[in-house]
Amino acid sequence: MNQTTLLPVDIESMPIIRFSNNLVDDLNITSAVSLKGWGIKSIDSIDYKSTLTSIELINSLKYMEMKNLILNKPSRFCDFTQHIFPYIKENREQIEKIYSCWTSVHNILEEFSKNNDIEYIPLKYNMEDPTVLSYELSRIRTPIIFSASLEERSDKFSTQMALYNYFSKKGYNVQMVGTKQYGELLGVINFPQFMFEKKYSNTEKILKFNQFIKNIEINTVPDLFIIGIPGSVGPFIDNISTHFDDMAYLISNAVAADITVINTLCTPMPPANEVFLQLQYKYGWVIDDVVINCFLLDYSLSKTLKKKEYIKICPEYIHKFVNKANENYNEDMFFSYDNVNKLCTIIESKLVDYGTSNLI
Amino acid sequence: MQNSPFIHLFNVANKYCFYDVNKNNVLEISKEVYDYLLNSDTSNENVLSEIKSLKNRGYLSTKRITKIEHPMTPLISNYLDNKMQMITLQVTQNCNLRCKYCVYGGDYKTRQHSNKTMTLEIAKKAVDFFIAHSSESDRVGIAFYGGEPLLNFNVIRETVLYLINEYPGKQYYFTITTNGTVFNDENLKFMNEFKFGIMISLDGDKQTHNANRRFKNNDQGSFDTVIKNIQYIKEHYPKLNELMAFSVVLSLSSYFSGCNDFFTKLNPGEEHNLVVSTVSNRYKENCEADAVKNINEENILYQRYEIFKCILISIGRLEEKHVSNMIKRFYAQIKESYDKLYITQNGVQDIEHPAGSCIPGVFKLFINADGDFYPCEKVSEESKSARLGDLDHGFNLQNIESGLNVGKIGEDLCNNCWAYRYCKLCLMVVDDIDKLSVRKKVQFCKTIKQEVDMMMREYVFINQFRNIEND
Repeated sequence: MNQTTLLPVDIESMPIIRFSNNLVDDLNITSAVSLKGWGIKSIDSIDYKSTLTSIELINSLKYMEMKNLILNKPSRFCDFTQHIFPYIKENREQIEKIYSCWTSVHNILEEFSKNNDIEYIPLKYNMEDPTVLSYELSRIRTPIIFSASLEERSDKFSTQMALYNYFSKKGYNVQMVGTKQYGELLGVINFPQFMFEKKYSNTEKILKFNQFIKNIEINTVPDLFIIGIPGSVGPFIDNISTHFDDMAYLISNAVAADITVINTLCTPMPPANEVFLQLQYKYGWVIDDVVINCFLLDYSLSKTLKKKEYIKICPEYIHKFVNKANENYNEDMFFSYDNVNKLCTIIESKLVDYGTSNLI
Repeated sequence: MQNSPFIHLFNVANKYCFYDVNKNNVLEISKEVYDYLLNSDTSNENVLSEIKSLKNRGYLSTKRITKIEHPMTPLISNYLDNKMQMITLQVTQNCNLRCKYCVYGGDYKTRQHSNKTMTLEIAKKAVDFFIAHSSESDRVGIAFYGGEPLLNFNVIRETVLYLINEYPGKQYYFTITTNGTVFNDENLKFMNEFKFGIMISLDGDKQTHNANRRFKNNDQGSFDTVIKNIQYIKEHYPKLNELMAFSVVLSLSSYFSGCNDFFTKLNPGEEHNLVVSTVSNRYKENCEADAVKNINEENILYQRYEIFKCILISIGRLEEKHVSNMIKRFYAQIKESYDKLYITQNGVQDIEHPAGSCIPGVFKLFINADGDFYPCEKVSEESKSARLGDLDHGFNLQNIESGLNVGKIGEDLCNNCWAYRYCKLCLMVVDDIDKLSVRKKVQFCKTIKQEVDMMMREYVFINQFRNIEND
């Protein structure tokens, strides 16, 4: 096993810890480092999800031992040059390998690794760029699950990974196109880079994405696709942008989902049926389930500070929130991450049911 | 009353209007409709048709609040656990001045001047507590307060260095409120390096300032010392100069026009913010009577004239340079208030709370020299109801919850209040040392309703000449 340190750990990189059993290259996370000013008390306190892990949380880079490093750009205030790089430099002799999806510091790390005989593996979006030969969409025969989010910080990647593990363990051949750059470390396919390129028109992106999925289908003959949809689909709220773009629309045009799971924050929202109807009109999605995450967006504070401000919400409140949402909707379709297994079971029954009743 | 539309009627010159609480919007109406809404009596078909049309558009709803409770109540502990924004440290209760209006001078129901100082141990403990409760805040601040905080500069310096060195991973900002008499190169250099925002208390020209702000040891006015220090900062610490602001307290002996002339000369480029307030009556025995005594009619006339000029600026009839520096904040407030007036689709909810109160301790926590918690520096340290806990035992959730839900005190006053969305009610307003006081709330309600009513009238007046939203 390759002793590995996650640097730094925050809400963005937590799936690496939570799904560390999926890690490739025999990587074994033994420690995770946070900056002391972030005030993180324990690994589980980052997202209030239990991890049952023996990974050590280190609150100071001064005392760490480094061998393999996974570097991820945190969503928190962190200056690479000031807070991270000095310690990497200090421990240059111990480090064997650096995996990094901190795009803005690729050049620095590449040069540093080269000079210090360290293997450097940049983690990027998938660079495959299928050629489009005709203006025709290929039919995807494999069932597809979409995992999208209403808001940023909805942690849809964890839902994708939970579904991926559930179906994989059941023996299905699952192909997942994930939304995180470190997805390939967890054994899934990274989202294709061409979808972010400005040089392609929306039509070209739709055709390319369709071809991208079709190629996977041809090459791996999967039983199931799980596709994470980058960004969020929520609209502007007053003057706070949810940084939505047309990615959801493009993907929905490229391939059709059999199941759509929406991930969202623990923030009061308009009546669910109104939201579902809007999503159906905008993207053609029929929402099957909603996963509520442990953050709340404070609109009023965000407006004051001109930056999105989140509050971490304890599991007890989330349970109440989920129960109330289910009561209001008269159906068990809202879940917290704690009962995501139940969500997987429901989705599996639905898919089996579709497979039994559909002739084609 | 429950069956009548939830509105507030008012008129400005020849315009008749109502503010619809459910829609959160101001509408201009005819005199006839206005009269009908006032008296509920008409046989005029046009009026009835207009009323019907308004109702079809969702106006004139009778929906009112049924229960007062702050929507943040179930989330209090989540905010306190990870979203603290700022702490104010009372690094000393000592001061080298004895200002006549000072709340610590013995005339108020709060602590008095003492030689008590905050130890470095308590300051570090406060920092540890702050970081442990702000894991979801990337930018946080520490304000240093006194007494005169620079009398305990050693603790200020060590606290800042401890925070910066021990807790990397946050953006920090620092502010200090000082009487401006104890600057030296050592503390100025340090504050310059860490980009302190400095709030200097300066009441105006020499006569006005010295009337109240006097040295403890010789009863001399502090004006010359403060001005000399300000000039020194301007010459030697230009960066610190940029972050300097003045706190101006208007007392009975102050003359608004004289103060205004003084600050225009001192601050010609208006690079420094002026925070103007009047002598506080809060926590004073017979504060109502005192409030009346403190009125200086000439000051009020002058201020109202300056506010009128702000309105002229708003409608494009006067250039900004003609308005007093001291009143400029009013101009910004006009637009700020109007930003809040927007049509809401949600209407009045069954459970609401008047605006104004924030979760005590989250956006600001005042920690006194002993390590006791209060919502802010303006709250009496004698108050039992406003004490939010201490460094040894953490937050007192019960007091924080009642502090957030101050609307529950005399709940009936809020259930039917048309101005609840613009209220500024907070714990400090109703705090009466031993309990939260309905009497104080009643008094405050009257003032706030007048303010909101005036804001709406100004809105209608200004809108006649210029569309504010598109400005």
